[in-house]
Amino acid sequence: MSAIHPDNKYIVALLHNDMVLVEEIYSRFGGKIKHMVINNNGSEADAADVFQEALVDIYKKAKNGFTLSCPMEAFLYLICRNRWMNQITRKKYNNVTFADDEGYSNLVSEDSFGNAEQILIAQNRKNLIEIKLAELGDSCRQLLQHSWGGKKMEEVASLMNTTYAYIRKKKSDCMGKLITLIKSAPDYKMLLN
Amino acid sequence: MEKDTAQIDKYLAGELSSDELQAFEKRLREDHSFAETFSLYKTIQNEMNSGDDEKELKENLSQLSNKYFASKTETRVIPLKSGNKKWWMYAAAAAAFITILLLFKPWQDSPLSNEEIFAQYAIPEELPMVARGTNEDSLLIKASELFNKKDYAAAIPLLDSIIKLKPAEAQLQLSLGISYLNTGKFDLAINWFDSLAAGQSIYKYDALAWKALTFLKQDNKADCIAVLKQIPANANNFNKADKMIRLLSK
Repeated sequence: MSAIHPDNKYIVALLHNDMVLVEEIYSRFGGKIKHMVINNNGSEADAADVFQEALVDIYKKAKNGFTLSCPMEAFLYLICRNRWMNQITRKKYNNVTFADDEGYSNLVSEDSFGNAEQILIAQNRKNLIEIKLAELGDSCRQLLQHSWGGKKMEEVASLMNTTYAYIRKKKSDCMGKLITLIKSAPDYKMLLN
Repeated sequence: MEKDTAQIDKYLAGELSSDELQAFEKRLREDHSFAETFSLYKTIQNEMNSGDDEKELKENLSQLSNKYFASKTETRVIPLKSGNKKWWMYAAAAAAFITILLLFKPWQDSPLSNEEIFAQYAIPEELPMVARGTNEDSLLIKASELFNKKDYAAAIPLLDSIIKLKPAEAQLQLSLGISYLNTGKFDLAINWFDSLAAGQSIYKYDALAWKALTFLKQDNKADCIAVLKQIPANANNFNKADKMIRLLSK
């Protein structure tokens, strides 16, 4: 494990929702990412999405104890580039080259590369789950989304106007349906640890 | 499968008896398919769980994205509102005030019917129609278009699909609730408003106001007033809610 880089302050800021420093992430690095996305068949709005989603990815990683061991700019660039590449290959754009990686790869420490890769894998997993979730019926989908939204099952029960016992049963039924759907996808093995 | 997930749910909640626990762990070792189900269950929970912190962060990031990135998609952009919410709210407050003066005529003291009050307050905020070029967004534009021209029945399935893809977008959830309200599906509407009111988005108190309006639409004045009273004095729509309570109490 490499030493913590001073830019780790940005990771801490994301964790604590410290808006002054989070805004600094936008003002310092937003331009670079915009440039990268626009040069590779994207729009400025695409860049905004990629940037925002990359920060959420990093936040989630930080919640599991990730610390930054290289400059934020290089790491963020790598995450955004992976994300954008992932998105455009899914859309099957041609002639995307990613000629310049602006020399950032030299700045990224080895374990940051590892972290970036894990973030990419997590993203693909989430995509698959979301696709299958969309195939569930309304009531299951809503219930699961409520239950993942940080609410206690008791609250979800009162929200959906039913009892705790019923909602517990219904939730495991819905999870069963979701898992059956996922197991029918050819690439579901990537969800297994 | 549903039996398996019920067991897993109990296991993770620590509710299995020691016999059941032993049987569970034995099965995990021996039954490959069950072990896979267990692993998937945990992965799904891990990937999908997002607490209030994450929601709050996402909202803050959205605001920064609006500030630092313009949505310049050449010809397809139809901007409907400025990125600055405050500016918009002042304008809306001013417009609402003028509307009240003109429509309501507070100087005339005749009580209004529930229907008239509903019509004056149940005015949804339009959805911004910003094109971004992905499939998801063409769906969003279509949904916004239908919602803004009040074709609620047609907007519902589209909004519903987008919310699946973007579960954190509070404005879409509010709009879906409003669409349900306007198509007479009051229970579904209230589900969405409740879930927003329990969260921390900027639409928290708007959701309460819409919940109140849902009761009003059903001629349930008492519940309508009770919900309006839950809007705290520091909320942006407090004055509006307060005024509405006084009108309903006439």
